[in-house]
Amino acid sequence: MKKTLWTSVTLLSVGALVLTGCSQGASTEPIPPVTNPVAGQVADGILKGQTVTYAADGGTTQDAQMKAFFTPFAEASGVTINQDSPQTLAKITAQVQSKNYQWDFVSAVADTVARNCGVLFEKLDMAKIDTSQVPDGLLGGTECGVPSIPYAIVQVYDTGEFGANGPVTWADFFDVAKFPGTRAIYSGDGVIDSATVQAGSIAAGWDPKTPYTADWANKGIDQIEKIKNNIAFYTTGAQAQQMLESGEAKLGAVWNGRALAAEKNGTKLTPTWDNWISIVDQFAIIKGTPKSEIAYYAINYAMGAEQQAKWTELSGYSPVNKNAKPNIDDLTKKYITTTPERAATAVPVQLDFWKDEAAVSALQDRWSSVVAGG
Amino acid sequence: MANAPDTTQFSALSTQAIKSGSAKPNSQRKKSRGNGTRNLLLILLPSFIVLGIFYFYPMLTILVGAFTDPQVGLQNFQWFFGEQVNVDVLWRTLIISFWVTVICVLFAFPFSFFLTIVTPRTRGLLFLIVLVPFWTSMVVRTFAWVILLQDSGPIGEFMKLFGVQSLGLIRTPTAVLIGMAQVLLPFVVLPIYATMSKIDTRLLTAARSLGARPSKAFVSIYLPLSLPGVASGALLCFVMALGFYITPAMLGGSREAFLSTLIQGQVQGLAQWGHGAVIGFVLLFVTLVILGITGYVGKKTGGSVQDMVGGSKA
Repeated sequence: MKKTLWTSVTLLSVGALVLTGCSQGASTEPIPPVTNPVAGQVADGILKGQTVTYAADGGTTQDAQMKAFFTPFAEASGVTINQDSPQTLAKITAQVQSKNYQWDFVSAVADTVARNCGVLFEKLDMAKIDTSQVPDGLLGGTECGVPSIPYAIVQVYDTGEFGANGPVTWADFFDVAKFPGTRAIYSGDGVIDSATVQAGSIAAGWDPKTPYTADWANKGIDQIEKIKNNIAFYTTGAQAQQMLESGEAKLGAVWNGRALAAEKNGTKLTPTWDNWISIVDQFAIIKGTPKSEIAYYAINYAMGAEQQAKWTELSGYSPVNKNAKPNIDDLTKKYITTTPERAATAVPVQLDFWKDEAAVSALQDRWSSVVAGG
Repeated sequence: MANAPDTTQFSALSTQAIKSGSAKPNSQRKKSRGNGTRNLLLILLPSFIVLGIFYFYPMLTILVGAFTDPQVGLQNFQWFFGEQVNVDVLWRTLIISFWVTVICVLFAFPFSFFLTIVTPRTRGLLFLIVLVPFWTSMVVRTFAWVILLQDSGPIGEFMKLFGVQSLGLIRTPTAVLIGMAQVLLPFVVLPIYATMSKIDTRLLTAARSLGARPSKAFVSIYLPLSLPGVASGALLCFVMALGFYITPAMLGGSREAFLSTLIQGQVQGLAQWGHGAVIGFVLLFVTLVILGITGYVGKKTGGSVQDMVGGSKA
């Protein structure tokens, strides 16, 4: 008698569990697939009840991305969008390996996305994102990303120090006899910085029209090693800016956004734009996330002209839509990189080379020793 | 459910206590002490579990990872000792930590001595001066040092009055030493003061009455008696300095990087967990070796590690 009671109780609870399991499964609305995307547009309320999480590098840049892209996207589509920062390769790896997704899509450096394409990042279905208005030369770096932030490693110098006879080329930048003074250079925060190494390669004689090789990369690092005693390595953009503003560095191979910020704070700088290194951070979707479809909607929305104009107004970074008409002052215009004039002297980060894990890991240890060595 | 064992424990105990009233008081006392230890262990159990899950397990994973990530073998150790930069940074971490310790002791010793001879009011004030920065976020304090030490900072501007054009302090080992010493000073002051405050100053008077000059009395009486405090402060300071990250990263250049900076690059930037784990392994190993040596030397010279780490027992 007692036994049968227990059996029935057990059966009932199992049944209840199965039922709740099923009903929970059914309560998640299926995500409607993306069809005929138009940059910057999303159907009203199409993602009601859904949530998605975006991770990037934090700070004012991510604030601007949220204000220009994702908060309006959430309002229009009905989705709940969460954000997190900073995104790091280590955390993405952990999420993909454990299949426990805290993030669904990120904005990350193109090298990283290209190197881990198909492993940590989804190969993108380009039919789901309207990239028809993206300026020439920004697309196609990697199958796993579309442009999120186009920016530069550009040579700038203290106008007060060198006046009109300042350095022009990367060879000048690495010539400490001709242009004495401390150089601000990115340390990569422990990771080899492709753009900075390429600047060294150009100084060593690499013609950007020819293929980039490990040999050129090594010659680039040679250039940095050669002037090591005249370098102040920065780890963050804020540090680069502080070095320029305080006059500690007279020259810098810095991000355009930080040069702009330093100028806004009253430092007089001259950017040279000769063979400036063009870097394009990428929106990428974490491999295997069940919410990839929502991420496609979000990324497609961010590509719109209106969104991109607002993004430029808020961040000072360039728009990735040809039709974006941001309302910005002359100083900000000075550091916009996505114009035909700038494109003419740009050297893109050579992703075909930098996505090769083996080539990079050989260079990585050399880089660490130049940056952190005695 | 979690409370259940506790209640049974207590009721069992009280039943025993009632029973013990009649017979065999001796064996009963023993038994109840056994129960007391068990209760104590039960009380400690939650903290053991928390420590085990959130501290020992992750640490073990890292230590094991040094040998197993990405595959089983010694490749991570080969990498660590094969790259000169890792060994350089290890040495730098040890050397800068050593000098920070020396500076801290040099400042903390007279300061602590001073603390023992002033009025309680002044002592309270002086303690506040040591402790207020201690309660401020380390990042904020380090930022403050960046502003103070940079060329265009107040010190730099002041030196310009004397014709020094560029201070050149920021991003040098000196800047790192200043910043780290300021952060770690309280950890040296407190144990030294604790020891000094218990030294019987009549011993000094006795020495002087026997004809010792004040300096002689200080060197042969006061100094040896204060050494346990100095040793514990220095050890604490050194071991803490080894793990520093933010201060060397912000006040130093890349050539003042500590081992922790290398860990950050390998793990966060490159997702090379094996490399990060091996650096962590080496850092922990070095720390344990130093603790071991100090403990051994301490024993030989009459003290013990407990004395050094926990301050004077006197």
